[in-house]
Amino acid sequence: MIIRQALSFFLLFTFVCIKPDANALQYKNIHIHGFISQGYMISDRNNYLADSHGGTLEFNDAAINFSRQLYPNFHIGCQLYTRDIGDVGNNKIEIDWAFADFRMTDLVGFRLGKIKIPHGLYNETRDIDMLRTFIFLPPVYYDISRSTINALNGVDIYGNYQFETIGNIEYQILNGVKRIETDSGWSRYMERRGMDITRFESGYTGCGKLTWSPNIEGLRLGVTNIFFDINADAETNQFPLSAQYRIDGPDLRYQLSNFNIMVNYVEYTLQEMIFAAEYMTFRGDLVIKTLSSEMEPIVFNVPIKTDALYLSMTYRLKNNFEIGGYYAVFWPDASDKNGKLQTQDYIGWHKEAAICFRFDITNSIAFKTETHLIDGGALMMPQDNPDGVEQRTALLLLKLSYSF
Amino acid sequence: MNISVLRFYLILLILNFFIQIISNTCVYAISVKIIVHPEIQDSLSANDIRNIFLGKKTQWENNQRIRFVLFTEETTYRSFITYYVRKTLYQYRNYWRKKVFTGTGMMPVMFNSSSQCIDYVNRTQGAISFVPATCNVPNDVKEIILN
Repeated sequence: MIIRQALSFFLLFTFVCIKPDANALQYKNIHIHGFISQGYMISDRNNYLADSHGGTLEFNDAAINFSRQLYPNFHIGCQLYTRDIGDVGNNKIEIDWAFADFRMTDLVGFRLGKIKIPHGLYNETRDIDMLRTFIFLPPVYYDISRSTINALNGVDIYGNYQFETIGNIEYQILNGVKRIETDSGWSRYMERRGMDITRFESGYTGCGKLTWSPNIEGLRLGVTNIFFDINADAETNQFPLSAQYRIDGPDLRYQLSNFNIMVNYVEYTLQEMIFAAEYMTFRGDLVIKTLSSEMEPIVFNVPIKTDALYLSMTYRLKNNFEIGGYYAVFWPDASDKNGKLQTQDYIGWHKEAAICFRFDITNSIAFKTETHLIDGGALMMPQDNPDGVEQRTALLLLKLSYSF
Repeated sequence: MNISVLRFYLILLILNFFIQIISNTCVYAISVKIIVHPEIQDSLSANDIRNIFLGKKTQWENNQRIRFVLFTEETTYRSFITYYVRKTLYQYRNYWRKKVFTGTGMMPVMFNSSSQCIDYVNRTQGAISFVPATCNVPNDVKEIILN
């Protein structure tokens, strides 16, 4: 609590005292950067991520980071991060990343500590509002996945090489372990399936990223892959397996093994215009085992086969004004894209069109407004919509961010 | 107004949009010179310059650490970044902010006067920077030749 108050005070102090165009704070050789943002969202039908139907301000985040260059090729740093979006976050302060970075050569560097996980083009910067046009990134980066793919504790080997003929290749290989809290967004996602998570256990996590910037100006292509397993205990009253089957009563243990999230991406920058497209596949084997003491355990195997994609375009019209839009689709079960196995077919997809306007009031303050038209209920949480999920939702977002 | 006329206007509008983008391609007069510490090699490729200022190339050929410095006077800064790094100034600033907020890099050293840049390059081993072409560079700082 004291730390939270101290951080809030520090950020407020910074916001009030620093000139609006501040670049950074520096104390001796420690560089200090941070941001704070407050959003507002309102939707016409379903509640989306928060109690948005009546309009909500439960939509904010802030971070502060400290870095120091100890030697020309060695620096250390850490970032504290807090956020609130609906029931998730609740402004609890977490260590977002904290590591030592040793760049041995251009080809090889090492990082040790808590490191952001590469996932598609923008996962590492998903929380940093002022670095992008959009308020909400497309569902490839859906908010509930943050706790699962944000960062890991381990070792990162990275580097790049410039080939004369084919261009620049960058790579990153991370190995480590990650911890998922029982009140994370992932828990909320499982909660929609009737599971109240009481314990999470995740072991080894491995990730890789390969980005190729060919000798075509503005183009980069790449792939990221994340592997890990999750074991969890859950209390449940009712667990629907599909429209026809469900488990009633006993508590469950589930194991998500061979968990693999792959994203293929391409980004093309033409002057002030940026096109991006990504395709995500999420595969795993969900093994559910009943935990009743009165009966023999029953085991169910539910293969996970989730796909998501989007196309986006942003254009900076003036020095301080930018527009952007995207169209995205998310299928929780890619083998049932028409939702035939769901209780209502539109639960089988989430299709979303978004348009955003960003206005940079100064180099440090940005205001954004964004509209989403959503078709489908695949990412609408039943616990947020106790009267049932409707097929279509319109969402309006406003956000003001300050960074230094 | 029938559908085909509407369609014609729509096509014109889209074409106009792309023509505007292409015509907005600013061909900056390269009125900058790249300067390096006297002990550094004489020539560099365009890819080298780009990679140095993106933090991807961190060592000279003699394995000495590269220390690049940005000269932030608006006109020179913008033309250098656009021409050599092939990004807009906004994209370049965001590129480094991304590194700062993910911990993968630190903000480059910046000066807003050319004399500070020249002085830094002169006294720092492995240093590289850029100044306006009109700027007088002392003999003990080397001007780079692009391959």
